[in-house]
Amino acid sequence: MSQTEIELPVSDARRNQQAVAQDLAEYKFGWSDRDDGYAFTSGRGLTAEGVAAISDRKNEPTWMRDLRLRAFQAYERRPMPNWGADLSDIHFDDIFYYVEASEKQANSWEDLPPEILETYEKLGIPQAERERLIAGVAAQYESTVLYHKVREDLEQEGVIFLDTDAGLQEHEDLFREHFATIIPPNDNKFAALNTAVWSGGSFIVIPEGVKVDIPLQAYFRINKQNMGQFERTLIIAEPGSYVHYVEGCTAPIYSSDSLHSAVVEIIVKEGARVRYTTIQNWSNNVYNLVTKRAVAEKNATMEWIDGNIGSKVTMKYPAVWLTGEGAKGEVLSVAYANDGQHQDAGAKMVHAAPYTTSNILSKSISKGTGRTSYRGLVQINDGAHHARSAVKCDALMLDDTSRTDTYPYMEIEQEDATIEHEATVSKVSDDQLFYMQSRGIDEDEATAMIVRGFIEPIARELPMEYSVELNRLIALEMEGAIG
Amino acid sequence: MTSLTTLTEEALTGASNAADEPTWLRDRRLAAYKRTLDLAWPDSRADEFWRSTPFAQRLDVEREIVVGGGSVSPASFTADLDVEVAMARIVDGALVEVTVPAAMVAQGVLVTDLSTAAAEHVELVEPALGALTSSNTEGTGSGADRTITVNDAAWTAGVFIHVPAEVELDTPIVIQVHAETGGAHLPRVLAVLGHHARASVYLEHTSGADTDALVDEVVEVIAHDAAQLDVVSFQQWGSHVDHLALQKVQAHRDSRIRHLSVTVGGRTVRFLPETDLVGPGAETRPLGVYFADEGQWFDLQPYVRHLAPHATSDVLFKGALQGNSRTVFRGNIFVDKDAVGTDTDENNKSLILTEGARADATPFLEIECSDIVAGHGSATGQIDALQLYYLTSRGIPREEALRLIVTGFFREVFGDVDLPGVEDAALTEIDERIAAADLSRFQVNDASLKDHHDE
Repeated sequence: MSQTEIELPVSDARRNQQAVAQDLAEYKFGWSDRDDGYAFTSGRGLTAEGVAAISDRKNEPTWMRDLRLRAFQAYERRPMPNWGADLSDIHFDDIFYYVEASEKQANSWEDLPPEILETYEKLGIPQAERERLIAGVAAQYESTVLYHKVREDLEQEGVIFLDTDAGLQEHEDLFREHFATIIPPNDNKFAALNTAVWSGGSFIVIPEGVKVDIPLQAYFRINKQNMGQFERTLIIAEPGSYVHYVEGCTAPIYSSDSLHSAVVEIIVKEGARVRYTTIQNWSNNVYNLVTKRAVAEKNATMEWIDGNIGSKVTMKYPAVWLTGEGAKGEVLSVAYANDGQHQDAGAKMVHAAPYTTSNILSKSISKGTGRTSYRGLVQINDGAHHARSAVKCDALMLDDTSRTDTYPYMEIEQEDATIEHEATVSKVSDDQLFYMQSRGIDEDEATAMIVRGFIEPIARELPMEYSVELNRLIALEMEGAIG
Repeated sequence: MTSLTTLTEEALTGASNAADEPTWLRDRRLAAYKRTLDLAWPDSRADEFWRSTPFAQRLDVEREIVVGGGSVSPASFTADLDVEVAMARIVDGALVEVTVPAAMVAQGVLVTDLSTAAAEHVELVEPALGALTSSNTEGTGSGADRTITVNDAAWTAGVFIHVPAEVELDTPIVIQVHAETGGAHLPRVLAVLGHHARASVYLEHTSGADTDALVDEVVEVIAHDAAQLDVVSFQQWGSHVDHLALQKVQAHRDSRIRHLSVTVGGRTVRFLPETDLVGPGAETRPLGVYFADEGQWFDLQPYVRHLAPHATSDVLFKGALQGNSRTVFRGNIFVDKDAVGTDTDENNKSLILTEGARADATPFLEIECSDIVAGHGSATGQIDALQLYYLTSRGIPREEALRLIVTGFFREVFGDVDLPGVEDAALTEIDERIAAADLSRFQVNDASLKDHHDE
C-alpha cells in the first residue's frame, strides 16, 4: 500500500500576506530621483525677500503678494505649539521652501520630463486615469503641479479642477472671495507659513446641483531632501452639489527630515456634500503638520476620511465649522504608529447653528515605539440648540512598548446639547489568538485579521482601491507584529 | 508684610524661627523658596495645565499673606452628628484649636500642629512632607508649578495627622479651614496612614460672606500598604474666595482610597485631587459633585497615575450649572508601561440648567501599557422632559419634580459612600442652591418626548 501525501493548500489570506511581505518589504515609495535639474528654487531658509520672490516668480497680483508677506510676519510672530508632538528637530533654516521641478505644466503624460514620468508610472497614476477610475487627476512634484486633467463631460458641466496657482490666474475674483477666509493667515504658525509660501494644491469649484459621481484625485510627491511642501487646496461646493476628493502622498527616505505643511479650505454650501479622503503614506522622515477646515452651511454635509500611516510626526485635526442649521460633520480617522512615529491626529467640530450634528470615529493602532494620540474638540456655541455630537475613539496596542493617548476636549455653551464621548483601549488578546489558532490560523495571520476587523468600519467607507491600499499598508506595517 | 510675590529669605527664616521649627524644615522652606525664584506664575496661554483657568484674569497673588489667626468659630456639619470627631481648626492663617477624642489618643493617633510635629516626630514628618509636591516632573500637581512651590515655602498653618499601623477609626478627623480676613491664605495638611490603618478625613472650607481671599492649599496623604482612607473636601466658600487646591494621595500596595469633593462655594476654584498608585493592587475612586452658579468658575482636575500593576481607578464627577457660570472637568489617567492589569474608568456628566452656563469636559487617557482595561466617557445634557412629565403626571408639583431630578442626578456619586453625615450635608448644600434658583428658568430637553412620538 502506498501512502498518499496530502498537501494542505496554503490559504489565500496567507499567500496574500506573503506576497505583500515580499512586495512591500521596503517602503516601496522610498526611491529618489536626481535632484539637480530644477528649474527654480528659492534656496534654503526663509526671509521676506524669499516670500516676495516666490510671488514674483508666479506673477501674482499685488493683493496675493501682500497677503503672503503679512502671513510671513504672522508666521514669525506665532509661537511653536507647546502641546502635541515633539517638533524640536525641525530645522527651519535648512528647508527648501520653493522648488520648481519643470518649467511648464504638461498636457499629457508623455510630455512630462522622463524622470518624473517614471516616478508617476511607478505610483500607478496614469493607469488609474486610463481605467477611468477617477474623474480628474492632479500630480504635484515638489512645489508645482505638473499634470492636471479633468474629464471632459465634467468640464462641460462647469466643474473647475485646476491647480491652485492656475485657479488664482484664471478665476481671480472667485479665488479672492474665498481664499484664506476659512483658515485666516494667522490661524496658527504652520497655516501662516503655508499662506506665506504656498504653491500648488487643487482649486475646485462644483457648480450648483452637479454631482461628480467618481472621485477627483491628487498625488503629492516630495523628492528633494530637506524639501518643504506647502500645497494649498480650496474647494467650493455650490448648493446641492457633491464631490469626493482623494489625495495620496509619498516621499523618498532620506536621512534628514522634510516638512509637509498643507492648508485645505472647503466651503460646503446649502445642501451640498463634500467628502475628502486622505491616505497619508509619507516616508518616516516627514513632519506632516496640516491644517484642514471646512465650513458646512445649511443642511450641508462634510466628511473627512483620514488615514495616517506614514510620516515621522503627524499633527492633523480636520475640522468642520457647522455654520448652517441642520449641517452635518463627520470624521473617520485611522492612524497607525510604528517604531519612531507619533500620530497626533483627531478632529474638531464647532457647532455654531441649531440642529447640527457631528460624528467622530477614530481608530488608532500603535506598535513598537510608536505613539498614537487622539486629540479632538467638540464645541457647542451658545445658540446652537438641539446640537448632537458623538465621539468614539478606539485604540489597539499591538505590544507592551507602544503608547496611546486620548485627549478629547468638549466645550459646551448650550444647555440642550447632547454630547457623548466614548473611548476604549484594547490589545490583541490571548483569548482571541487562542480561538483563531485553534481554528488553524497562525498567530501572524490571526493578528492581521483582528487588525483588519478593527479598522473595517472605516475601510468600508473608502473607494475599493483605497480600501485595498489601506489594508496593504497596514499589513506591511504589521510585519513581525508578534515576536 | 509680605505677599506671595514679595517673599524673602529673611521673612521665611523669621517666621520659621518664631514657630520653633527644626532646622531641616527651615532649610526645606528656603530650598522651596529658591525654586520659586526660577518659576514664573502660570501663563494660561502657554501652560497646558492652566489652559482651563485664566490665571492672570481671575487670580490675584499680590495680596498680603494672612497670619496670626482669628477668633471666629465656624460651624461644622459634623457638630450635629452623634459621633465624637477629632477637630483641627485653621482660622486666618493659624491653627487655633485641636481637639482629639481620648479614644483616638489612646490608639496613638496624632492630630497636631505640623510645625511642632516636624520637631517632635521627625521620623514621621521629614520623609513625608513635600514628598508628593516634588516627586513628579510632569502633570498638574508638580514641583514646577509656582502656586504649589510657594506653599511648600511659605505655608502658615499646618496640620499633621498620623494613624498608626492597624488602627481603624470609625469616626472622622475634621479639619476646618476658615478665611475671615481678606488676603492670601496658605494652609497645609500632611496625613500618614500606617499599614492596615483605616481613617476618614473631612476638610471643610468656609469663609466670611464678604471675605475677599486667595486660598492656596496643599494636602498630602501617604497611605501605606492595605490602608483604607476616605478624604472628603467641602468647598463652601463665600462668593469672593478663590481656591487653589492640590490634594494628593500616594497609595501603596492594596490600599483603598476614596476622595470625594463637594464644590458649591467660591469664585474661582481650581481643584486637583490626585492619586499616585505606587503599589500593586491599590485602588482609588476620585468622586466629585459640584454646583456652579452666577460668576463661579470651577476647574476640576482629577489626575490618576497608575505606576504599579493591578491597580484600579474609577473617576466619577457630576456637576450642575446655572446662570453665567463655567465648569471644567479635566481628568487625566496615566498608565505607566509597567502597570499591567490596570483597570480604569473615568466619567464626567454635566447638567446645564439654564442659559449662559458653559461646561467643558476633557477626560484624557495616556496609556503606555496594553494589558489593561480602560474606558472613559462624558456626557452633557439637560433635564429630561420625559422624566419631568412622568413625575408631574404622578401629581408631584413641577418645582418639586425638578428638584427631585437634580438631586437624583447627584445621588449616583454617593453610591456606597456611607460616611457619617457626608451625603446629607452635600445634598443639603445642593438643595439650598436649587431653592435659591429660579426654577422657571430651568431648561428642559424635549428630545426624549420627540423620540417617543416618532416611534
